[in-house]
Amino acid sequence: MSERIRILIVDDEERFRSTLIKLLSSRGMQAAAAGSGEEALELLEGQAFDVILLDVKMPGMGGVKALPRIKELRPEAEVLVLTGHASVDIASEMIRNGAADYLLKPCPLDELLDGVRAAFDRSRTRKLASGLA
Amino acid sequence: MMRGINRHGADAAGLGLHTVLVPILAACGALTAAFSPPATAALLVLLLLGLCGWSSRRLAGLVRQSESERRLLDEQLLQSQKLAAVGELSSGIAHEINNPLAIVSQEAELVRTLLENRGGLSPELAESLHEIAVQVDRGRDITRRLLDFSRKMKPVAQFEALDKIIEDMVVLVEKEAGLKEARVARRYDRNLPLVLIDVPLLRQAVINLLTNALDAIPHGGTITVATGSAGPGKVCISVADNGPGVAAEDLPRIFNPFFTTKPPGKGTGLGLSICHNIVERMGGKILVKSEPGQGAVFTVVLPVKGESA
Repeated sequence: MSERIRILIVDDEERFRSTLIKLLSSRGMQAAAAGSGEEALELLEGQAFDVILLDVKMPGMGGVKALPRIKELRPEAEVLVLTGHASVDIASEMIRNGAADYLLKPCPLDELLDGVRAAFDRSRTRKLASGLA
Repeated sequence: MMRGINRHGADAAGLGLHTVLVPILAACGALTAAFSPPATAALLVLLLLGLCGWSSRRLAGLVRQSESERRLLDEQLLQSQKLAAVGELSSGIAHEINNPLAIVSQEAELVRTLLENRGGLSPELAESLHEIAVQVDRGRDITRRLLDFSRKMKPVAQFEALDKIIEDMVVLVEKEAGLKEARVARRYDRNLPLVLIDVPLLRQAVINLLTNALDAIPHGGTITVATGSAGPGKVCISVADNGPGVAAEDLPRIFNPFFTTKPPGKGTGLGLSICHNIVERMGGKILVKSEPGQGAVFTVVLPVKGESA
């Protein structure tokens, strides 16, 4: 497990992003953040991530619109939806569009970390299977 | 309590009698009296007077009754519109509150991490951080319930025995009831047809009613759970407790979201409003009857054949 998990946090709450970066870094992960769907896509153009935490409601491009583009750009990345917006309709649409899970804010850190690690394992297995790793 | 259901056919027949039959009879009687000997005429007139008096009293009664039924329907309509509006509002609020809650919980985690890295956490600080997590959880529980409350999922119906659904929930609550020296009495009607119902939704409604009843008898008592027929195509479930009852001024507000008589932190005031919402979504009605000191009875009336019946 020496490989560092690379995480992208996409959320419009500045404080949420900065604190989560600190928390994830303190657990040995490599975290970066974007404040909207557009920003996330820009970052993803030049950088690969294993796990993407995606919010739903954001100014500019929200999570629902960003998700298919993210999956198009980085199909190997695992997307976890992390939102305060609990709607069964949105959740099922996002899962259909390739999100691996739908976590509801406020999500206890342990649960989030479990979700991230499981997503990372899946993404690594997928990369191994497709001969990319 | 179930007045106003399936009475309109009877009302129409009653109206025909009073507006057509009685006037024709009166006219015929008056004509006959005009051509009769005085003694027979007097008798006929007395008879007609009696008939007309009876008829007008009956008509006045019918008008009064339909007036009060209309008022009841108006109240029910107003109540569901109010709940729908509050549902929209509360789901909006729940979403907005989840974001700051998430930040609070993360900041507490960060403080814990920073302090641990700096050589340890005093028991007092650890306890305080734990309390922040507990209170965030409490807030999270409230927003989850609010979202449950306003969720607009279409019910998925299946045929199931009413007493089976209820019994599953009674068994759950009975464990807790045992601790409070409360007992649950069952009065299931074993001859009821299977009902077409969304089972998880009904379970939620029943458990809310049972917990509500249990909360009403903190020092022990009896909860009576009954099922029965409520007229053609309808069944009912009632949950009664022998607690202190509901104050008359609280009755009209009892299904309002956030209305609670429990101390802060003990109840969210959402249990009964969620219940109301679920029952309405299943095409049913929920009614409450209570006299102070006499406990409370909640009755859920449901269509046997699902939402559209």
